[in-house]
Amino acid sequence: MKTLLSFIIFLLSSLFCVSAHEGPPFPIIVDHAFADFKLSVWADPDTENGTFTFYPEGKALKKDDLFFEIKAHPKDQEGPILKSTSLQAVEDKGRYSYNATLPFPTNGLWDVVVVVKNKQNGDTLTTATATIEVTPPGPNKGEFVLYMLPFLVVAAIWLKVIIRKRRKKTL
Amino acid sequence: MIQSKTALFFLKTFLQIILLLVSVFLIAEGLWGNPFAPKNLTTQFVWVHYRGLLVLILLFVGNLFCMSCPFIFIRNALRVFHTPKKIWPEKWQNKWMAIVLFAFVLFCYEYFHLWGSPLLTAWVIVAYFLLAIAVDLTFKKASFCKYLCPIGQFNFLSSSISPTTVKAKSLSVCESCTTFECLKGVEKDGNAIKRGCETSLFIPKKKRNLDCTFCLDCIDACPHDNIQVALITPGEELLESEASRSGIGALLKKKDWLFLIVVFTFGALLNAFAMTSAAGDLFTLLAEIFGITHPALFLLVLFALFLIALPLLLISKRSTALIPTLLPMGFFIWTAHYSFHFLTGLFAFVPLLFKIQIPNSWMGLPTHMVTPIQYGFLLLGFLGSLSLVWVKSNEEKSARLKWSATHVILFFLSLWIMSLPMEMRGTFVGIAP
Repeated sequence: MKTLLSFIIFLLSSLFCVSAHEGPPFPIIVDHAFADFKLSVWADPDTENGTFTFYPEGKALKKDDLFFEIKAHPKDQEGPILKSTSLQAVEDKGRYSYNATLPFPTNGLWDVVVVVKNKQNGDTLTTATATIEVTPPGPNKGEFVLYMLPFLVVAAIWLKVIIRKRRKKTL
Repeated sequence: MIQSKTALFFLKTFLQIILLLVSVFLIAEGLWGNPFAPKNLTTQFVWVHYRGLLVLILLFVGNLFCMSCPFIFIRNALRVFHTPKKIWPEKWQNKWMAIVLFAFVLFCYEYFHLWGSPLLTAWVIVAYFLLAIAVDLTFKKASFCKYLCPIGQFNFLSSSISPTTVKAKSLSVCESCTTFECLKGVEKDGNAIKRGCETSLFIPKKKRNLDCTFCLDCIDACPHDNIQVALITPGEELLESEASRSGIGALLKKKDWLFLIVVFTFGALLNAFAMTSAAGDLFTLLAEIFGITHPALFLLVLFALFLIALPLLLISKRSTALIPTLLPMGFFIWTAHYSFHFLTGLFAFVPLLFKIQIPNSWMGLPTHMVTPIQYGFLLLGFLGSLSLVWVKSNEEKSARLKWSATHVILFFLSLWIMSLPMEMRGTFVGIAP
């Protein structure tokens, strides 16, 4: 019993060493219309590594028509502090997406500005803004233990029942 | 548990009709709806919600999906007009074709990016209907379910962890039975009026859930009302892997079953890994070193790595008697993976279905809550597998230690994979189309 308990404690502590799964991206700009196109932007704004994916849509859209800039600054502060440009389109079944990252130094609310530009001449076609909350990836340790506890309880009960069933079968 | 026969059959028929209607809708939406996956209910419902519900219902209830299978509902209806005459060929009365199909479906999922194509997803559903109907209108019994259906094999193995089973109420009643309707069905004037078990499971010799589709035909056929859906301890079936079981035989002597368990477990790791950034890095590495740039070749390498090399490395010098102990780990890897997508995208279909925008925070559970749940599932799988090694077996201590090491490696491998950045395929719209 002591060995099993020690082993479980070792397992739990090792779980803290494994980084948490990065959460799914979510849309921050939805069907923003410009010219003959629409733009949606997904974000996964983790601290230190916020990722953004731009999804332009339009029947006449070609791979090298557009590029994107994204700028961000903490909410209620002036001027962009972070900036990134996305030039390369990723194609999947005739659809194009563009990726950019911003190294958010702090948590909290940030204003982002997405600028869509014509790749041929650099003209700005449209801008769209959104406010996002930058958060550290994954749960804090306290939450982690809290949400894991039910599983440990279930595992302990299950183990006890299985051992008892096995003993009954061998008697 | 529901004890009334009528209630059980009402539930089964109700669920079958619901799933049939949903299937028709998803086919139509996939064929004619928005081709952009995050804006299409087919890709959302199939690759996020269906897979998530599948594992969670298997875990908390039982094999309801086989019970409510819409393919079989249609097949049973068509069998009123056409009775199959042939018996499934004896040389194929094993799981080998099912294993090939299972791996094939996983391969196609990656190669064709099924999660990103409503059209292909719809055709997968159509193909399933056509194959199930073609096979079961040609061959007697549930040949498609038992020998081919990849979802079925997944459900059979997973239901070894389910808390319910179909079993006899009293074995003494079975002992006095001489007509065996649970297996043979009921005939009148040479015509079958009630089916017996179409996967050849004889109730007194049936050991829980492997190969059981929860069709409840045995309950309907039994003249003594001696069969029930009962609660059991999840995983107790795996305590009896040495015993000979009806419709299967001695599990440990069936290479096809053992191989299926291996593919199921290592396929769980493969399916999760293929979605991660590490898979992309591996692709780049293979391109640089070996010049492999074709996606199909890369996938073949990945499949060989996870379904051949890794099992050879981790279990080839182990006692095969303990292969079934892989099942808890395998099932909970699938559960951790699919439940993550399901729980984080729980209500992502709402904007599409109801044409309303909802806040992002309403799309599903927050990641900081779901990640520990994922790890909790993996921990359950690991402890389940480990305890089976030590509780059930008569193996030598050295064999048990080797298998324990295997399970430790699988556990940390699954933790590592689940912690990697994953593509969120085809999910999260928040857009009113």
